[in-house]
Amino acid sequence: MNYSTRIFLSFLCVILVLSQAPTSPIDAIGTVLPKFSDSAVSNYRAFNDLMKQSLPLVAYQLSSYGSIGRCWGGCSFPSIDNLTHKYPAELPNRIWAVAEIPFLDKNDDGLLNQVFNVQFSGNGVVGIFQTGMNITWNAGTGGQFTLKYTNQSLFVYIYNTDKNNPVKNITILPASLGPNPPTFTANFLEYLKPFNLLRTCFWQAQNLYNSGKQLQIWNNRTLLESSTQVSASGVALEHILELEKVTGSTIWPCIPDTADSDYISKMGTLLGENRDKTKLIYL
Amino acid sequence: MNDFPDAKTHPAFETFITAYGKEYRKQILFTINYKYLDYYTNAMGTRKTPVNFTYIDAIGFEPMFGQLEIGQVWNANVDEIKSNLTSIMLEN
Repeated sequence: MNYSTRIFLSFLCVILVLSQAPTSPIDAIGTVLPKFSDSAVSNYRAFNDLMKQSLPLVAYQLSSYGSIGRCWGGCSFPSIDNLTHKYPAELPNRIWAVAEIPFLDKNDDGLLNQVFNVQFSGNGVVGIFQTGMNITWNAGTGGQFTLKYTNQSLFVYIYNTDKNNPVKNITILPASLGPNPPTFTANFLEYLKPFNLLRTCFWQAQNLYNSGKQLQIWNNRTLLESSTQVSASGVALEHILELEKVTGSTIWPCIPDTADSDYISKMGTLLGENRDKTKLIYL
Repeated sequence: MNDFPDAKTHPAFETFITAYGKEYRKQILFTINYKYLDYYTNAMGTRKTPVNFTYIDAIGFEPMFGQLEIGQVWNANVDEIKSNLTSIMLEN
């Protein structure tokens, strides 16, 4: 074999090796999206819709004496304490489903004195409560209120929900954002600008190692229309895909360590059908 | 993926890529991270058969794999973050 043939074959081998090279990471500065708290105020606001960062719905009881308080187990409808991100399909008399919306010290000051639009679908009563304010709307009418305090929580309550057409899809959005408000806050998107790789394990309510969680079922996952994106089920994958698109970044989601094969398969299908697959994804 | 035992890694990634599209293998970077390096060495040390790492492109040996604390970077640009990273690495 002459010298030029050897060079040619060597060159060919290099090309073949490179063409078989494993997937390479992108040139990126990444960040881990910090976890949302489902029991206290989270340390940043990502969603413009206040409901998406509300604490999961819990049962409150209206006693025959007219007092109202958290129902810790003596309720005639105990399963409401396990609602997590789901709206109640029905509610017995004198039981309310209540979501608390805590505010961040200073970071939420911009929301003060803003007018908010409240919308929902279904039949029932939806109310907003904060000191000095107690407004209710019936059967999907919705309305407006002005936020007076960011140093105390806002409470959203549901009662008399119609089991044939339950209350759902509650949104609480600043009126200043207009009829088509963006999903994510401007501050949050500004914060993400330097980063082009977003690890979303914490957003998915996972951690970066063995979660110790029970089996993850696809049907129990958080959806766009869930009552909150802050629960033990994490943020909807659809929102994670939207964030990738809005920021132009690359996502690094977790396959939950306790997900069954049905969950993993449907997660693969959802991601495959809703993102540019020629773009790299970390898993 | 977070801390899968070896026996689960392969079928899980196989299931995912079958649904996502096997033709996009090169656009998927499969990662796995162990909580501690000890977990990895223990798993490797007791095995009699080869480990199938067909789908693994990167392995982390500590729980914060992929996460680097660099303090407050609000409104920083890429150059400022890289500068910050360099300073931290030089300090350590």
